[in-house]
Amino acid sequence: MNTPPLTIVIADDDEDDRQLFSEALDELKLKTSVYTVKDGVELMDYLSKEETPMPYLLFLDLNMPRKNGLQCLKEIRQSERLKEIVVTIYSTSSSEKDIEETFQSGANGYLKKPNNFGMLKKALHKIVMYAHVYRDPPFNKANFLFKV
Amino acid sequence: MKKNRHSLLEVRLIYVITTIFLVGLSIYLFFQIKNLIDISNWVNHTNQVNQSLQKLSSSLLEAESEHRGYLLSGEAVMLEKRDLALNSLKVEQHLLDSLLKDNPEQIQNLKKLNLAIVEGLVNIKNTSAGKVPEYDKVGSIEEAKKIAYVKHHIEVMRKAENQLLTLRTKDYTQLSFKTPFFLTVLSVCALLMLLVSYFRINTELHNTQNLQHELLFENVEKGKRAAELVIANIELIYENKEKEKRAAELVIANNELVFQNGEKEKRAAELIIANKELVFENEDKEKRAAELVIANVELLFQNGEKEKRAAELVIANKELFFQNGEKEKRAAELVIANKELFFQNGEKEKRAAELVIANKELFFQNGEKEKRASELIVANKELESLNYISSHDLQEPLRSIQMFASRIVGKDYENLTDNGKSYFKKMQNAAVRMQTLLDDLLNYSRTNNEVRKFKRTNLNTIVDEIIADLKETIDEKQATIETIDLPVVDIIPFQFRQLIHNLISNALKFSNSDTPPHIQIKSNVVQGDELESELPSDWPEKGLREAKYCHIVVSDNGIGFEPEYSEKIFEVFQRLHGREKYKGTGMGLAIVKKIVENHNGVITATSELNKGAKFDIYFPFN
Repeated sequence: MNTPPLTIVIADDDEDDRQLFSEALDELKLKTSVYTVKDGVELMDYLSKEETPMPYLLFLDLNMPRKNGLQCLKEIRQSERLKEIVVTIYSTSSSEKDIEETFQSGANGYLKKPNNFGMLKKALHKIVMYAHVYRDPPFNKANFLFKV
Repeated sequence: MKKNRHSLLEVRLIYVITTIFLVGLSIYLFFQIKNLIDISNWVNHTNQVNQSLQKLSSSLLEAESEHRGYLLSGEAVMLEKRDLALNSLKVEQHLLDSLLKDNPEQIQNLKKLNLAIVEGLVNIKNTSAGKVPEYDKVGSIEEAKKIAYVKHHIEVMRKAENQLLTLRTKDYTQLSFKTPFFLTVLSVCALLMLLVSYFRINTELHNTQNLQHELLFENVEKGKRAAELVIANIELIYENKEKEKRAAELVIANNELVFQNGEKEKRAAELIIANKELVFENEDKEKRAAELVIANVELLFQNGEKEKRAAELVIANKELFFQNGEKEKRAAELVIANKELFFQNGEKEKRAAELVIANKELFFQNGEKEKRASELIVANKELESLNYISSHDLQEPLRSIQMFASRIVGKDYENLTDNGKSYFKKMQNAAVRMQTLLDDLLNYSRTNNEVRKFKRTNLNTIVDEIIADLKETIDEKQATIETIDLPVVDIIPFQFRQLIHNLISNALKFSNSDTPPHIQIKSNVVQGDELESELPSDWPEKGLREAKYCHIVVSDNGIGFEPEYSEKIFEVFQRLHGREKYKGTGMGLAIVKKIVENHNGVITATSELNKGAKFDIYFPFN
């Protein structure tokens, strides 16, 4: 089983969050490689490059400078090349408005940033393992929000 | 196939012809060989005759010479020898007799010979021992002649036999040359046929084998193709199933999309309704302003009326004065009374004038208040969004603190001194407290900020969900939650959920440590006019006597609170207990109150210390 590692992309403007995210994934030992971007513009530049491999999973912060997560999500869903990417929203917000809006715009999951490193690891493990479940429609609203 | 049948006939014909030819040849050869054997037998026969004649001749000569020897010597032995020779002569005669049965010419010759022998041997036979006749020369010559005659006959017979022999030998040589020739021909033919058959059979066998191989190969090919078809069928079946599945999934996806579209359309419709409501509200406000103007005008008009009435009263007084003149008894009193009334009228006139001024002032003040109210609304909204954004942004650094703290606990906790560990725990607790505080603030401001979307909801469902959420605490405290007659009502589901959640978790939190908590949630519908006495005076909807209200009661058997706090507990950041005893931010009931107000309702709390608490919620029913 010499498969290449699964690429997981995280777009988040907070350096601490990016660091903690990468550390959590590393500690899970799931044979994944993490690519981090600092904002929406950088993310879309990275994804639209021809040589970029399709990421297995994309974690998208909502509140980012230059281009926010919701805009990125909409662009991804409208792009013929990128629309199949499994997108999990990764945000501080737990407001109904944000959850509803991202669900309607075609996000596959919603993870509220946990306050505890152990919970972050647990949540990431679950999301990476079950990413394919959320890839195909119809996914349902009931398990859209990941509960940790 | 036709060609094959044709060649089969050909082969059969060839085989029949060859077989007939070979059989004919064999029969012919058989007769040839039989002839050959016959002829060789005849040759042998002739030779035998010749031999026998030879022996006869020699026996005759021996008998004659022995006889002559006896005559000359008188020796008796010679007579014995003569008898032996005569015996063999007789044997030969018999032999010849049997040999020559089939040859009449030779039989004649043999008869003559036998006569000649009988004649020639008369003397010889007759001579016996003891008496030796005298040599008689003439007799001897006679004798010699007779013997010669016998010899002559023998010679004749031999010649005849030799003639036969030469003929037969000739035949024999001819036949013995022919027979091997035919035999060779027969052998060669047979061999040829054998070879032809061999090659023929060989090629046929080869062909048959080839055909068999081909058939076998074809069968294998057919088998393969059949297997391929079976696989292809299975694949087709599988593909069909997949397609059906996909179709079913598509149907589900379509349903969902349709549902989502429906939801979006609903929301759009709701937005339109909300817009309309806003427009309507604006219109309302304009109307109210117009109504105030009208009211002022009316007040002015009433003042005018009062003046009129004052004038009328003057007239009435005059009339009374006249009547007083008429009635003497009460005249003096009436005069006084009239004077007083007159004075009062004057006062009233003054007051009417004052009222006009006051009205003008009020009108002005109303305008000011409206201005201020709209300013306040704007300010409030700004404050709320500021509150929302700041508490949201405050969460991020706090979360980083908590995350790195949990990292340290996970990885480097053991490196801390006991003191350090304790400080660290305190730090984490403080962070958690800050976190809950921010969460509650966020919730509080959210109850103002979020779109108020009313939806017909079954309260039982909401209570069940909350019970599921709080299951751990409920189990731990062995609490029982009883629900009675919960209705289906028009509410903002998300907010109402928060409301019930806060009330139940409060009841669980402030329970008596020695009795398991029992929480009762019941509901009934009441008429507006039944509520007057129970409700606080400042309830805006109090005047609506005709409307129906939903009344929800949440009561518990917990520690309760002193009655004087029944209003204070609903204020922001108000706590009745130390943080060490009961955790909390003092936001819970403030949020509850705000949510009830969002539903145009009112909430009251009644309790006595250690006698449980009761919360009454009233809001318009549908």
